[in-house]
Amino acid sequence: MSKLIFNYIIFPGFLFTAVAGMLASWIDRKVTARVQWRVGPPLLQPLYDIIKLSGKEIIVPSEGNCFVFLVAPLVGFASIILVSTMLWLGILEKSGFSGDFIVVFYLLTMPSIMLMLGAFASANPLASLGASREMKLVMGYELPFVLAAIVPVIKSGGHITLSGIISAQSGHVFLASCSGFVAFIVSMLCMQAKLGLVPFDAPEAETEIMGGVVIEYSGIPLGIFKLTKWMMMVTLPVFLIVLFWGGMGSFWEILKYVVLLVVIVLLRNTNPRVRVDQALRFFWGPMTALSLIAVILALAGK
Amino acid sequence: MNDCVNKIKERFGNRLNVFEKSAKRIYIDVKPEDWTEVAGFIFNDLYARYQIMTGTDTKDAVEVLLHFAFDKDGMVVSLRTLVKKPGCEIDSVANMITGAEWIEREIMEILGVKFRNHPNPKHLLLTEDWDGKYPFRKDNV
Amino acid sequence: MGIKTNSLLKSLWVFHFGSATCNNCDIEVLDALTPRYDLERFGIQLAGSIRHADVMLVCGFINKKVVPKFKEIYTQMPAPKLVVAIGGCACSGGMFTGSYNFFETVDKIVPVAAYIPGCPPKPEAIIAGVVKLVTALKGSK
Repeated sequence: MSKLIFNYIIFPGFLFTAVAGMLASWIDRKVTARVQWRVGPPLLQPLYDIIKLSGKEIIVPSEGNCFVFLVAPLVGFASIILVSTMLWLGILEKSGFSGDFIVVFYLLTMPSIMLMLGAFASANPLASLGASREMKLVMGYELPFVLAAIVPVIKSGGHITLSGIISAQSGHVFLASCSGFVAFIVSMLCMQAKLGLVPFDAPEAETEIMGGVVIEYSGIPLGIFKLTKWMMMVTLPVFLIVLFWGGMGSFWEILKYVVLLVVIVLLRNTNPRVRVDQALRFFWGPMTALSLIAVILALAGK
Repeated sequence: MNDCVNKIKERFGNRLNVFEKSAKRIYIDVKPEDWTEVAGFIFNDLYARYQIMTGTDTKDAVEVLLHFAFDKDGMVVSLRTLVKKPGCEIDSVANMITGAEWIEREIMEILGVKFRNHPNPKHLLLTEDWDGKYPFRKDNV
Repeated sequence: MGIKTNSLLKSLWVFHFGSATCNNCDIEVLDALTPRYDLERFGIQLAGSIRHADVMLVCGFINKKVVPKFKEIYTQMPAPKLVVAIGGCACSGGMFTGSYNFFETVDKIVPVAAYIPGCPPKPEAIIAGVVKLVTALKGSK
């Protein structure tokens, strides 16, 4: 029991993921700065941001729901720590239970839902606008993401445990096969939307002239939302690596994560933002078709 | 050349006074009573594009101008009238030209010209509890 | 100096407020945030909402109509907060002192931490002002 608490709080739970998340967000900002021909922020900048936010006053809107407003960031935070713990324990210690893959899937939607709840509890029309956009986006990308995630389950012969999917790739990774490659591309784009990065960051940035979903947040709750977003930048690519690229067996395989992070950051820097209806059409049109093709190819054995 | 101006002259005859500063810049002087009728003719029947209204203070009257553009000819036609002080009142064109609503509010509070039948005569730039002096009237100085 | 103040000074998020401005100071503030002058290397970011901001940059003077909104936005900023007046009009009223819609200079309404004069101040001047502010706060706290 105490080992699980250690795992949840220190490694590979809260502390490890938070530090890795801050490092990932720093890499993102630095690469963005270099692409734009400027110097970026120093290494400890995300840490300074979080410490500064913890020293600011917390203001709760009087007409909103105080309890939901303050608890929403914490629930999203707790669920992303849980996802990270389960993923890393599955990779490193091959432990887990049957169906933990589905639990991870459900838990990964929690940050977006909590963002929406917090926005609705803010009693601000601009926040509601951002939250409704977030809802539309989630409806859009969840469908092809789930379809693409069925492909590893089929190819591994029906395992629905994370460690089972990893061990089924010990011969050759799913990425190398036809259906796996197509499903990987689909889930990369869905991940870009899940992380809330350009070109799919319509909910959090369309009203960025005023802040979007987090417009009324200040102080530590805002810091928790930002930290959750940074932790998702660490957790989601690792999830994709577990599903398609064979997990992280040895130390050098952290390079897989670095490659994915660089692809995400480059996608972010080279694309304009799309509108919500364009994004919805994109996810329900070409992406769903591609993922269905991937499922059919997987069933056919390719 | 200026067949729009010719149509205006035919329609209204000697109720107005046309001054052609150049081929592309025409000033038409009307009396305050004919203001809305001439503006309506130019806007609705000749399909001019409404640009803006301007105004200035002269000794006995406030001069109000309404500028229309004829984009195909590259011509700007300005309708000008003198509203006598004190008690400057003139009919509003905001019901006909929706774009004139805000500029009429501004002229009302800054130059002190009252537009009759204006749909929303609130202050635009000055506070609601302004002390009543008109800032651009020259007798303030 | 405490770790919280140190972090505050290394990560200032600015909110831009321009009330009655001719927009030149706004353009220069925008320039200072673009890649050529790059304020992000000091940790300074543009915040979308006033609730996320530490510093409010005021451009332009405060006229009578905007005073209640300006005070409301100032109270909406979470403590600890700073106000920086950018440009001649925000520092002292500029050429609008004594005009009909002028209320008071910014520092008679809210406490101002730094003044950056100029019409408009160059981005280098804005950066120099920010650095001076941060140095002064580091020395005093």
